[in-house]
Amino acid sequence: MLTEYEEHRLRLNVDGGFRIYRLRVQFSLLTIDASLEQLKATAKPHGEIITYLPTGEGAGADSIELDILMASKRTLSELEGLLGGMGGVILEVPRKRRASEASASPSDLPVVEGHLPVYEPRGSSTSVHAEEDRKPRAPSSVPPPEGKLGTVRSVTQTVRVDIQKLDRLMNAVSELAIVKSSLDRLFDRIRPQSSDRRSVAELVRLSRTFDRQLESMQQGILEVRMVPLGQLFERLTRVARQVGRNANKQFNLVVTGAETEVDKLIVEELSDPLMHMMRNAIDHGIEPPAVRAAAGKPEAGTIALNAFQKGSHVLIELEDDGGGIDTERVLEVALARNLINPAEVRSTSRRDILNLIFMPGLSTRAEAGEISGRGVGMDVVKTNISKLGGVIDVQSEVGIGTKLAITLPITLAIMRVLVAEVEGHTFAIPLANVREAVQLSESDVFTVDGHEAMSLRGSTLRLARLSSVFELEAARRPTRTAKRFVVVTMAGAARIGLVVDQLVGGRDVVMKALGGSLRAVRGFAGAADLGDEQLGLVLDTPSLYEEIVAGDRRRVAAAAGRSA
Amino acid sequence: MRALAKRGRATRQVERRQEDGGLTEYLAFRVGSSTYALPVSIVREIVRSGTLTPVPRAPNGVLGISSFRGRVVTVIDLGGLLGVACSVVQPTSGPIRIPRLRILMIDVGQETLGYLVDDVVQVYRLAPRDVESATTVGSDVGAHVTGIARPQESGEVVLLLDPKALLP
Repeated sequence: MLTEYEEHRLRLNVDGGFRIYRLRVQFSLLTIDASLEQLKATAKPHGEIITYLPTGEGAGADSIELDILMASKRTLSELEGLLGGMGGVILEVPRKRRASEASASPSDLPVVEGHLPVYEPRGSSTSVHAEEDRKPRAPSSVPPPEGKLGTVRSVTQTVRVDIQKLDRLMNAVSELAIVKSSLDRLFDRIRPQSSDRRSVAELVRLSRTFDRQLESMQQGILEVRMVPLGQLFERLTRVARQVGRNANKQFNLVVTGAETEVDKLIVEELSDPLMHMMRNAIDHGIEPPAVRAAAGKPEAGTIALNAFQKGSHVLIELEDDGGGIDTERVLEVALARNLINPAEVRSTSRRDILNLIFMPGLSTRAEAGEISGRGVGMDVVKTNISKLGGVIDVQSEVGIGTKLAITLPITLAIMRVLVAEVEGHTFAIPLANVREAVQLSESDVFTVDGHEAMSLRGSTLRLARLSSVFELEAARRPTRTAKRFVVVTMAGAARIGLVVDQLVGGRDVVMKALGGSLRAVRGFAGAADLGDEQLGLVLDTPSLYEEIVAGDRRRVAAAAGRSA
Repeated sequence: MRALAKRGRATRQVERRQEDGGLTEYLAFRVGSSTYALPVSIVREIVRSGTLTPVPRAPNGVLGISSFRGRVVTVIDLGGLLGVACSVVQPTSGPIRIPRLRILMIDVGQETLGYLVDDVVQVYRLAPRDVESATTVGSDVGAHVTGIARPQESGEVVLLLDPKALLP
């Protein structure tokens, strides 16, 4: 697939009477940068390289095959002579008509002709390069059959769209939904007074159709944004192999769920965190073969990368059967760096200790590994994930392995929220993070370690009153306090009960970022139009949870300081 | 459409400025008991309706957020910034619907911010000679005032604001 610019260059070159060639070359991943530079330098005097397209086929584990689209005045044999040293296959992309007819209007370009076989090798014998033999890994020296050469042609069937354009579209649709709900309210008001029953019935019918269409429009835009995780996983696999080689670690990488679809933006943002996690698993997780053998494990470790959809979430798990995280060591480092207080060590659960790896400044490695330890730690991974509205969780057993699980919303474009009121303020809580909502009876509230909690189905639920978390002044006309609600909110595997005055209900909203002047304000992921010109602040529940728990830590530390 | 109209206005404004030899248009508005003015060129739009949603934990001077053409805009208490009381009550809780809301949308740095004012008066076209330098008038007007004008049309005192004073 070509970008607009590449297509433009291609057209220009075709219009300018250049021939279009396709070079199919295999590169070793280890040397691709250097080889590609060399190829570019060699080719440059003779034409213009328009684009590089990975073919996605024929490449081995440690090599990649690229189709290089090049425009040149030279003939095929000239080019073969010039670029002979590079290896690979050169094919000429023929024009639709013979040269005599080719008055080369842009529409003659094979790329734009969807119904034509776009790409035919011109005489298979000449297209095979002599240097072919030097590359035993290269695909068969016969050019692949026509049907397989879909790369260039597919331009006709697909459109590249700037994701911002989709955002604008989504915005328009949600504005439309807001207009619609206003219309509905108006209609409800007028309806009792109307005696024209046929018109009323007609309006009801139209309104339903409108809703359906609106929904399918929203759905359509969402679908457009979705891409499979496969490409990202492929890149991860390549990096993993290279990292493994450099670190002298042996492992098998098992990937499942590459077809799982996620919002394009999420995939982009996931790349760095996942790379880091993968490096960590290889560098810190999998032990050297000798150590594994001594521990009675198979010499080659296993790293499993799994993705699957679960409701409106996508779970991505990275699991290794390596040495696991040494919680004692984590505690030691955390204590040494003052990340936790000695007083709270005993009350810290194993889970909480493991979660310390997400704190800034904690690395259990004495010296930074050559592979990981490049400045981004697990804290950055966590921050990146929570920016996407996701959470990361860790499980680990010493000697058995480590499992990191990322839970992400499928899309960022539209969000289901629970609208709640606290002291007259309206907040939206992402439903993705809400487990349930229950009524609060103040008599059930008890105090543990200086904070409020209640018992929910046999387990203790930590409570946090949003009115005090946000220091909201009591509304002038106090809400009748009889019926408050507890919204049980998940932050990873941890949960917390947010106490609100009133539940308004569920909504589909488009979340918008707060302006730069409010970026420093913590606890909110953004704001959403709730209709009727009213904005609701969307709670950033993972960061709220963190803050509330961190507040406890500070309090405990302060108390310990006083008693000491 | 509106964007086009705006662009039309902007070009007209430029033309006019050329004709009149250095006339600058100022938008005059009231905050508290004083009349202030800013160059029209920096005011993107005047919003006359809407709801302000307060943001807990927001820095002082931020009244809340408001939805403006599909975007969320931070609204700033201009009176507070200037050290005069805006007659609009500081919201204590919940969204406030201000009956005669006047928000000036102004591009400040990378962001478009809304500034709450009490009322928008009119546009004055002022030549440099109409403007007295603030330093000659005295120190009681505050550092954010660059000059003072007394347009003949109304005779009222208009304090010209330094756009830099708008930074929250």
